[in-house]
Amino acid sequence: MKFCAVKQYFDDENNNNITSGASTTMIPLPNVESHPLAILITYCKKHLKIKANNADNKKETEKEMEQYEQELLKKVMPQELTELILAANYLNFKEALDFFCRAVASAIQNKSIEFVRKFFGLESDFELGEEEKLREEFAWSFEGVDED
Amino acid sequence: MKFFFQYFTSHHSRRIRKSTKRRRIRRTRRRESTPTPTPPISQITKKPPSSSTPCTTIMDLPGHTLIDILSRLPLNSILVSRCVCTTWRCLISDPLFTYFYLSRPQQPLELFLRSNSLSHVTTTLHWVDTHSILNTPPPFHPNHHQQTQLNTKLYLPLAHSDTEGSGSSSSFMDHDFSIVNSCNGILLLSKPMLNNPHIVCNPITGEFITVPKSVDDNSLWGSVVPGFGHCRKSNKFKVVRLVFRLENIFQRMTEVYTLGTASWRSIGPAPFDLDLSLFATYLNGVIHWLRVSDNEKGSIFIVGFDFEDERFNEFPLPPHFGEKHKEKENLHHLNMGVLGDCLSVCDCTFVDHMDIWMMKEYGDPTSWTKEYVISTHFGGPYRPIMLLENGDLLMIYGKRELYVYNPIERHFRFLVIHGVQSVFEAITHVPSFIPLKDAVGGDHLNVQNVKGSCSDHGFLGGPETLYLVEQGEPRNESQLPFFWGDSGEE
Repeated sequence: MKFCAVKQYFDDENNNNITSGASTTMIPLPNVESHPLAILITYCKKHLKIKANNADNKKETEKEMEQYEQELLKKVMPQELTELILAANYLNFKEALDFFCRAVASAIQNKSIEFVRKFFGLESDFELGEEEKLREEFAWSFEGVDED
Repeated sequence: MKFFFQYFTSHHSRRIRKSTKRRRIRRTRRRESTPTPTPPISQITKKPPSSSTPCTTIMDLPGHTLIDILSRLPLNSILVSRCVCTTWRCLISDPLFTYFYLSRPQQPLELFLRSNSLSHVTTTLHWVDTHSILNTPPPFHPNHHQQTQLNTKLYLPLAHSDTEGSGSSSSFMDHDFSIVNSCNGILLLSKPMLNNPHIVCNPITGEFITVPKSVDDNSLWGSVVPGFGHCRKSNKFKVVRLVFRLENIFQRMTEVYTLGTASWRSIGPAPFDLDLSLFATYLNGVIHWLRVSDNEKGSIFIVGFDFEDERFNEFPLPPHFGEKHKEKENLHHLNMGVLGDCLSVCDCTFVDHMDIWMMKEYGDPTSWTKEYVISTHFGGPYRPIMLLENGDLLMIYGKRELYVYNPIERHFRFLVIHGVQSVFEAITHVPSFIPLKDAVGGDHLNVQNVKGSCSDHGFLGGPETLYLVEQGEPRNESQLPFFWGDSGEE
């Protein structure tokens, strides 16, 4: 089971000898919103499906997975990535966490300081003197190295 | 299986800078709550205020996740991230960041270029994005060229001039430091020619420490051979130097200074002399030099000083190196370095090819392997620098050109370094983001800022931009040009 947090829940239940009985079980996930959860479930299913299809061929698995990931990234808004990471972190879903972290890193790679701040909605909280010094010392990092 | 989840988002405003505070509470469905998995380090991110932020921001991520993301970035983007906000700057100096950074699949070794002219002071290290070079194909047509500007710069401290009141002098001997070697993210610098005094510097954090002079520095005579290294067991950095003292100018003495302590210690006489400190190479807790022995033939050995035991040892060169080539007159056709974590020696004594040997098992002379035999027109001044992540070999030729050699297809890419000067040195260095005080430890530390040292002298040696220019398609070994070299235009 990929969602390790959910798996842990089931393990805990078994340890407490609570019979779950029917196939429907309610598992509370207080820190996950519906939208990222839906994406994560789709990702997980796709991941398992590709793995099953290419059981012997690891390279093929990776290739197909990459293609799927590229397509997924096109549909996901950059700002949603943060929510996805939080959800994957809470669910302890390692592959998805790794993928989304990589996606965020690629989004800000080779960009200037101003771009990164704008992208994440961050503001500089350096002291005025420090900000001046940074601008002077790292002039190259304020010009967009890549076009936004 | 059905999952029920609560539509609930909570915000904890950790610090209120303006009066806005946002909290959204929606209808909740009560269930037994599962315990939230706690991250191994405490969450230290704080939420910046803004009325237009979405409901979750990157600052809501736990600290270790943000560190995970930032550690995947290339060096220039990490330096950018350090300037985004104070929280990110703290995260990058955290030891966990260094742990993630060194564990990632890309190798942490980075390449820097520095102008090496005798007539100008140069304190700038220019970062070369080797990863991007590998991902950018060479120009397709021989007559086309593509140019990359080296934007990311780090700075070295400026040396104090020995003679008072000569602040206007721009001779490199007064104001430049030479780089001796790099170890675990820290560089050892020393004044050229005499190689004394020494500075230990971390160019990424922009800090440096001046190594104290010894009490009896006045009795030093001649040049000093320095080396810098790290002891894993005691987690200490040490500087070693071989000196002559006036009491006995024929016998080299060995002295060691442990960073963080008060003074130098004398270890005793050195078992040999080193006329020149050639190719100081640090690997596995040992600093190595090429050395010519005193016997008649003047055979060449590799000597090493182990920082843990504080003892010298010797390695022979590869057995089939070419007996003649192990002799003194060929010393300037050899060079030594580290390739892929192995000690390596490059033999350019031949006129039509060069051999690169690697000591596959450190300490075992029988493990010397002739790893590369590369045809060249002239046994020119080729110097291997590093192995790239795809197996290509990066070399510098004539202090002006970078060659990327593909050993499978046996062809080269040429990148000419263009700048105001025409002579450059290449330095490989593993960046360290840990503040110098924490990395070194100990009490007797006076950590200074690189920028501060430059402003003391009132000049920085001027801004300098370097470019890498690549022309034409890759060439086979037989197509290597004849007359590239140091006679470039100025």
